[in-house]
Amino acid sequence: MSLTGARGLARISQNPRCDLQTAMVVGQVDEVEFYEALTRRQFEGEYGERASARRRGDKFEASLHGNNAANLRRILAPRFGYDCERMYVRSLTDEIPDHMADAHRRRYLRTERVLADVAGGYEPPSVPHLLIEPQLRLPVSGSRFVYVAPDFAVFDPAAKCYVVGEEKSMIVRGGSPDRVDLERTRRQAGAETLALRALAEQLNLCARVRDRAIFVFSSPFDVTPHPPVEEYLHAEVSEIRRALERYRAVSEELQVYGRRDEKKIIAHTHQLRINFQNSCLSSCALFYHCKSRVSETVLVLGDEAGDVFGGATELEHLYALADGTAEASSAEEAALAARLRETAALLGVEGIYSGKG
Amino acid sequence: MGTDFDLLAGRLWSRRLGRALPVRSTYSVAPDPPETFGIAFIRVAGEERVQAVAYGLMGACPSVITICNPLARGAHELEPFARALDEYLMGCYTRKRLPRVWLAHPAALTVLDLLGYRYQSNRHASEELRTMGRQCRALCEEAIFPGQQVLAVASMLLTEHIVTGQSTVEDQHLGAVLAWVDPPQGHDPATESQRRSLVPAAALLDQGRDKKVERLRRLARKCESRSELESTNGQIHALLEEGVAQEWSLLEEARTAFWRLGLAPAPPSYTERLVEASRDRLRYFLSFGANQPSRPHSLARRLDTYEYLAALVEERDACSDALVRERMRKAGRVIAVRVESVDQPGPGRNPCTLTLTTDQHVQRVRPGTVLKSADGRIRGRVVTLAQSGEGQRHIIFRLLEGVRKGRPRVGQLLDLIDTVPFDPRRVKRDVYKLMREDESPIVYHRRLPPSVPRHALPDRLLDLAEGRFRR
Amino acid sequence: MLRGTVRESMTISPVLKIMPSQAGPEDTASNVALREALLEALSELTCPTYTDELAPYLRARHGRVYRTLSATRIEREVEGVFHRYGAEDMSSSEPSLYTAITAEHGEPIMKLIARTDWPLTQRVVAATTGRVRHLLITARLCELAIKRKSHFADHHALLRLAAAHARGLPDTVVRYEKYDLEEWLALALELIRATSEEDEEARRGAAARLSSLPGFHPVFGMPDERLEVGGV
Repeated sequence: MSLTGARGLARISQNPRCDLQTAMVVGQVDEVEFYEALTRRQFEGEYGERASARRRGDKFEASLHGNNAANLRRILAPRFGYDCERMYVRSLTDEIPDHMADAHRRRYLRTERVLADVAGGYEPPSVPHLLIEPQLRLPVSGSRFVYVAPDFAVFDPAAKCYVVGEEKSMIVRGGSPDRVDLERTRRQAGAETLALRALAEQLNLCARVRDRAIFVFSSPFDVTPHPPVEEYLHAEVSEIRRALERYRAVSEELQVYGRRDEKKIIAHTHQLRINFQNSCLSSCALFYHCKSRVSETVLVLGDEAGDVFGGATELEHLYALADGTAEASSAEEAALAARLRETAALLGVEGIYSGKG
Repeated sequence: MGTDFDLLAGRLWSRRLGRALPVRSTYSVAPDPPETFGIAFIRVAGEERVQAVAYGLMGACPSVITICNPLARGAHELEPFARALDEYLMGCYTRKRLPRVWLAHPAALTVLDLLGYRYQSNRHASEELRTMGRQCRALCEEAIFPGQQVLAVASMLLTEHIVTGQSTVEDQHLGAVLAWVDPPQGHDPATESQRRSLVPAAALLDQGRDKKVERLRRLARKCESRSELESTNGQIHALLEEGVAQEWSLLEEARTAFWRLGLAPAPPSYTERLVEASRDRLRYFLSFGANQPSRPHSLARRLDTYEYLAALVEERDACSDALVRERMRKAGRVIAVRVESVDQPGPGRNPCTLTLTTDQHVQRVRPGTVLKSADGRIRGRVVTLAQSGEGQRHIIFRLLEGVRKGRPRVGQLLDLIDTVPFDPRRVKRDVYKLMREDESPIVYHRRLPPSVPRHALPDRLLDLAEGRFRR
Repeated sequence: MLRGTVRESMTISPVLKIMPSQAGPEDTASNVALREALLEALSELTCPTYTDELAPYLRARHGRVYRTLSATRIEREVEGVFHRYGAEDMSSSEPSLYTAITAEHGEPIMKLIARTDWPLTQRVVAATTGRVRHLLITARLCELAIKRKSHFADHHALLRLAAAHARGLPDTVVRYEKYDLEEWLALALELIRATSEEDEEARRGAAARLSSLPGFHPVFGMPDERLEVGGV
């Protein structure tokens, strides 16, 4: 799972209170290598995208972008009232391929010029109807930026500005893809919308950018696209804004900027706050490392246990309360102890707190 | 702190005990019929295409199909699976038995569903594969109905019946759950669960095998001699067979562990109704297709069915499962009451009003709430509620059913539950008929009529209140 | 930094002079052979062509010789031209490879390859050009597959390439291993007739406008660094 660009910010936004993860995003570390350097143990689990999944993603994008983005035009044109055969498409990755030096910045300059033309009053076909992989950026601090690239941006004639779009090869059944995947995609699109807003602000176009994105997913049939879905992303944009603040704060605190600052982050690990939560299992390579750090507390039983019992509460303390070997410090604790005993009785394990379990 | 508290506290105790704890006293599904069918898949990650499938009767050695090139256009390799599934389902119907299909986890259910979508009306597939597609869709559509009895997804069934000493998100891994259900002697289940989590339980090859298979497929494309190709394909088959064998044994292990929980069977009165409903629905889906409803009336009818079945399942649990009932009691959904007096002017006739008292702390009742007794003998409506001293509450309860034989005695203790299933489908049929006659564009038309401008609101709302402005 | 890439500090002639040590990839025999093959391929295809299209085309045309050729390899070859010919007058040199350029600001499209001896109007990409170019290349591939079968070492690869392009034609369903070349060709030509005039006019206008811009190079177009927002 990538830690760069919009995906990195989406990761922070899922768990903004985890400074360790934020530091990994800031340092753009390789998660597995970072885990091994941090724990001095080999990473045993599985991590990262499968080759077949990556291949499918590439195939899906290629099928949408091929032949002057014919498939993408076909599904987007009805939504925006365009004649799909007359849509003007510019592909920024065709103009400046990834392997070229300074590709991000140069693509950004070109994207900026297109938006400047829009600010100058131009509309399609004087500017493209469809931009493939336009480059945007979010200011972090001073002259530092996080570059984000939506899969496409389409000109909305009603808003007189572009709307960012994401293409994902996940399969739609019953009108919606997998919930977890959709959430990540929405956050990613939130970061891209925020970046578009940042550029629009410079060009006095801000009023035209709304917190929304177009999603193109796959149908169950090979890589045929499902009709696009437009979603509003107010919550995600706000969470990404918060994630950016954390990004800034952690990078300033650690003085870590840019790639591969593993050693520096590891040296500061002890002062970095972790926030172990359920979602870490599917997103972070450090899940078991952090779990071992909270293994004595109720957090090991999940977020819900943290909410009900209090995140820092130690398991042994709860057992002692139920056993009666620890004094309840408040009426709430006494009630909690009683309820724990009640549950044990309900589940038929009452002997467990009287030493017979 | 309601029902969830008990489940969380259950996790706490389970961790201390080092084994899973049952949270139900009865099974939520009817016992397996004599012949149950199992399916274990290995899919291509991302593509969600089947590259290996093990299938057959549970408890017997499965048949295995492995597909060297799952992205190829033809799918004839799956035909033996299609025949076996058809034979099983048709056999069940001939013998008037409930079919029962076991899957290991929701990922397998997704693969089954996609097989359905991809083949049910694929003109390029054989008739056998199209039938398989329709049957897969029918099974997956049935899986959505509350209380359905056909599809048994092992990980979902286990987590419905037990709690483990780990988080809910870790419970999504079937192997990790099984580590708590049947912990090996002398091993910490938490450690064992973590060890088992390293291998995926999601209809996927482990990453090592997956990389090997991907590499071999690339090699196979470049093979120039037949013998070289056969040898490469042989290695792919072997790796896929190993992977699908692991999935099958996980499924077998989970099924065995589930029935070894040793819970009591749900009472036949409820189970038989659910089994019959499940069998009828599946027969309908297999005969007429399992497309999801999209028109207003069919959608509404489907939602009514879900709602009714959910209530029926809840009623079954409240009435027959002591553990679930206790959890519902803590949430105030089941109330323990004492009959203080019975006011019935004409013996065995309406009206019959009971005065009940309860000292239960949490009760989710208000005037108008319909309650029934857990033994099903009486049903009635709360008329009034009154608080008396010492934390007691008086409930005036008007009987709607059970005024003759079911009428309780003074001093009798009762458990009243608030789940009273009501099947609205028959009543709503008339409503839908009237709606159809009305033909509201909001319900039936794709386009709405042009909006009619509202009369401007007066500057002073007081004027409006005084009725000076009328449309 | 990759050899042969355009350095960000570099601007177009007369500042194009670069030190010998910074020169692009050496002209090895294989580079020359590739360049020749690409020039020939562009002549056959008659319009600017994407590197993603050129790589499979060369594989179809020459068979095993270019079996491992990738689009990135072609892009690097084209970037090398910038370094080799930067200081020279391209019009007097041998025909070589460079990119097409955008109509709005004259920015090079690094994956869309053209011959340097083609006029600017043929290398400019206007709003309608993307579609017309796709139709042109589809028609040309179909035509080559019908008329010059023996010209290709791997004719089946050419058919696949033509089919992949035909998928972008309106209302066209391409069936697996079924190549309706005549049908695709007729449809593409019909659509070209309907739109080519408008496209030509747009390209002519853009070429004239770009040529009059200060700092615009007829081959290399306008570098990104020269173009400030609102500058053009």
